[in-house]
Amino acid sequence: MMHSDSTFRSRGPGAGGARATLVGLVLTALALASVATAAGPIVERTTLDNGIRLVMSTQRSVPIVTVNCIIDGGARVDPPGKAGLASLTGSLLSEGTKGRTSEDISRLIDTLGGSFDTGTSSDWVLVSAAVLSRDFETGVDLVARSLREPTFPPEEVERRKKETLGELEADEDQPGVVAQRAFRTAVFGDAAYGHSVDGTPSSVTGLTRDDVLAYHRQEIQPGRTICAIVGDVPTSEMKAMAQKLLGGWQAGGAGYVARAAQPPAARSVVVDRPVTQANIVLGQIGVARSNPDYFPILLMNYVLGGGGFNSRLMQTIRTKGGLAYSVSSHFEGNKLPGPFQVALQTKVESAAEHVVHPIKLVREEIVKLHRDGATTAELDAAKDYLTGSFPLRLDSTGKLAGFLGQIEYFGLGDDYIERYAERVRAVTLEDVRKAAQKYLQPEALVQVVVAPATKLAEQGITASPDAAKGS
Amino acid sequence: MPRSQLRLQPRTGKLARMRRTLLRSLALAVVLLASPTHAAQTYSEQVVERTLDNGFKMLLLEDHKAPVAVVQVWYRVGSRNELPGTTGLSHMLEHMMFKGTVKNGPEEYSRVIARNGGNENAFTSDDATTYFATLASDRIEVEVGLEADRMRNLVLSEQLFEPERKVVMEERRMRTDNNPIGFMFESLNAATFLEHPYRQPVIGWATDIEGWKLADLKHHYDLYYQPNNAFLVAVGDFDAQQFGDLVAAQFGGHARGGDPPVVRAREQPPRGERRVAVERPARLPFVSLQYQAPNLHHADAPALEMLESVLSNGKSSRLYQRLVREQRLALDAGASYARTAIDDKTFTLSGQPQPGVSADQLEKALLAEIEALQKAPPSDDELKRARSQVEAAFVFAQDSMFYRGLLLGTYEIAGGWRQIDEFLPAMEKVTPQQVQEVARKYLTPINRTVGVLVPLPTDDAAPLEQMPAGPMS
Repeated sequence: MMHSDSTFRSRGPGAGGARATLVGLVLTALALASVATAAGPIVERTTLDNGIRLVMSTQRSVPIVTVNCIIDGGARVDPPGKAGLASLTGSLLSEGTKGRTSEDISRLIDTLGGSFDTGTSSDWVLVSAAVLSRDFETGVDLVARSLREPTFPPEEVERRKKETLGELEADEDQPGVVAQRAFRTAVFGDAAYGHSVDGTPSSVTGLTRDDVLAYHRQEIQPGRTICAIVGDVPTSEMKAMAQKLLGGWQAGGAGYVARAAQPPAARSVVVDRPVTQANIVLGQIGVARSNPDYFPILLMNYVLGGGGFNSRLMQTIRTKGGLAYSVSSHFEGNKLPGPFQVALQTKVESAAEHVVHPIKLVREEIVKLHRDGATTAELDAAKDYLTGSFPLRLDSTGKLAGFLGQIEYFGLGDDYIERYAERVRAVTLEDVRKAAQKYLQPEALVQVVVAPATKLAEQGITASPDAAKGS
Repeated sequence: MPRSQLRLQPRTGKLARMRRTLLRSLALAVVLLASPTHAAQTYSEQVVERTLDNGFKMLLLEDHKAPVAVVQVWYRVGSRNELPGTTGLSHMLEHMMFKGTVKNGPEEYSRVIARNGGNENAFTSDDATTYFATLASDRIEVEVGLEADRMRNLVLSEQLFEPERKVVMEERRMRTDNNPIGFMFESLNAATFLEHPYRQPVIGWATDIEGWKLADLKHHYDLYYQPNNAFLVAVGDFDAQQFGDLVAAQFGGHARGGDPPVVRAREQPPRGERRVAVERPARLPFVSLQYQAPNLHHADAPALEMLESVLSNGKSSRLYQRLVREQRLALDAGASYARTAIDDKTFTLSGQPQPGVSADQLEKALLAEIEALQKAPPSDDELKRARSQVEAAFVFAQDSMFYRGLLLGTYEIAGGWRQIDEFLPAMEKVTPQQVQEVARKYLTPINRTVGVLVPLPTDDAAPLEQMPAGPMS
């Protein structure tokens, strides 16, 4: 059912599967079979004349191949008033290309038994095909045509708009999603990452086919594209195929400019909903993925709430208190500084401080880590997990393709995989203490609670006067 | 919808948003669990099966593509084995299995696995409870030792029990009470099954959760957590002989337990349509048509699987093309056949209407698709697409050791892992006429239970006290 199966949560820092399907989530979040060795996969990199960067790795174990192209931009660069434009454009890349209707494309991929998806995240548009290696050319061809010659049929534009509006409506029935959206708005406002990737009902209603054409012209360009190809095909063939089908792609637009947010002041947002369990998000603006303190932050967050049952938040809130089923903390390393957040759900009852109490405990843990840092035992445990489990994050062709693409995208360096363990081990207690002091700001937390407002008011939780109205 | 999937209750979780692709991909998930290929080696050729004197079985599959292994321990107990008044015990026990043994303190299991760089978790379904860890293959001994220990030496105390009861209540609030679609399915299952315990939610009814006694849990543990009621599945980079010896040394010391009670309930065919309407604060309705259907042991299973595929496997499938794209009635629509359930279960069609479309309109449209398949068989082309997707899905599944383990365990629970190899050849033989026949035979009005989510306004907040599953305790 829509709520349960994707609920496995990997215990380490989120690797973030690109595919949102159930199968994708089960396969990627559950972790498992590995195609990478401790030494790391053999990776080849090259740049085509038109600027497309290729990252390739041959993996022989299963006769399949994944082609993942990410194009920088995404919801981050949605123009003012046009929230959701990148997402609408991204979703339409598979709904018709020159000479092929949407249905032709669906039939083609279903006949092969592969998958072909397009999607949009905060920072990029993704076009991805996974096929049996015998169908490699068809897979690359589907991806190339989507990038180069999408037709954006007017009826498909209208259909996708209507669907998006419906999906936004359906999301309102999920309190966790409602809380996340309100949190983003409260932290980032009108700036980058301030709106849901899908946009808002009013912004989506206003989008036109011309907007979509403009996004494609401005943003979908070879110079901004990274294609990771992983699977049972020689890299020489990967390169030749990319050259043949993508090498002649020429496009160039100025692109849209993302606006970075200013750190918000502490505030409280209440979204009134008739639920029996409050969804709570606490946080602030975190860091960009390229932050030089990435590794100290990673370890610090593992201790706080990134380490599953070994984290302080889980021990305090769930194991000892029985106050929530899930509680975790997360730094989302984006192109620009992304959110840092703690999320949990706890029951709402009047006449008791059922919401106030867990919030207080979360705040205390943040304060404690900010003030005192971690212990040697905690740091050692975090290092053991992060280094030991690293190969499990590269354990399928799809995951490896995603990971390699991100290494390239964020400029993490060709030796990132090889040096990962060494970098984790190099972090000292002092590094963690400094990271906690610099990147946790207990006095500046934005707090969002989705619950019946009257019950919250009884416990003294109300919206700050300046707080954005939650949806 | 695949309830073996959708009713999993993992120990940790986060809210997942519904995606428009979800219902379509649900079908694929089941297919992935289903399909061997004639081209590749069969599982029978690759899996080493060993059974110890105490009845503990192991299924070992060498897979050397990386220095990693997954170990899963399956117990043959789930909500199917539970009794009215104490539903949810299997899932609660799954949580308590992390609370320590005579030898290891609370949460020590998770600490040790994490220190060894492993990922672990567990899930409970109607039919089984599964614990798993993925680790570097030179660390799997750690997992085997911990699993052998907690099979018999769990410490169950009031002190650890009470906070965890509250955790499970929070889990229920998240999955069911505050998830209108989840809540609807809970009621629908209870209406589809009158006699069989498949009517019971995996997580347990709220009042049952409130009422569990520690003694109930101890009884459940002693009854079902015995070597002769469990088996181990491992896939990965190990030597099956050597690894099997290690497992034998760790688990062999447990004495064989008594035979757990047999579930004798058999659901009788319904004699008329049943309808359940559930009112919850929600923006959009939801509708589901649930039919009783036989499981994989029945000769009709391959045709039912193809029926599911024609209806909802891939974006070219009927429900997506007609209801989502052409008629624009649904945000998403899909079909799901519970083929690998232990007892006969369901074939389900579901959909979420687009805003402005009523549940009734979408229900009629779903029925029209059923009628179309009853009137005329699917085209050869449709069947061909369905088959190639299933075959390819099998190859893709090999990319994941965990998934291969899941496949073995699911079939072993459903009636024997060797049946994995029988499925694809059987599906190859399915004709368009047979798909039409099973649509006529099973998707009938008298065999149908309809579930509808009726939205109540969310803006003028309905008082909590009026909600059927309000705060407990």
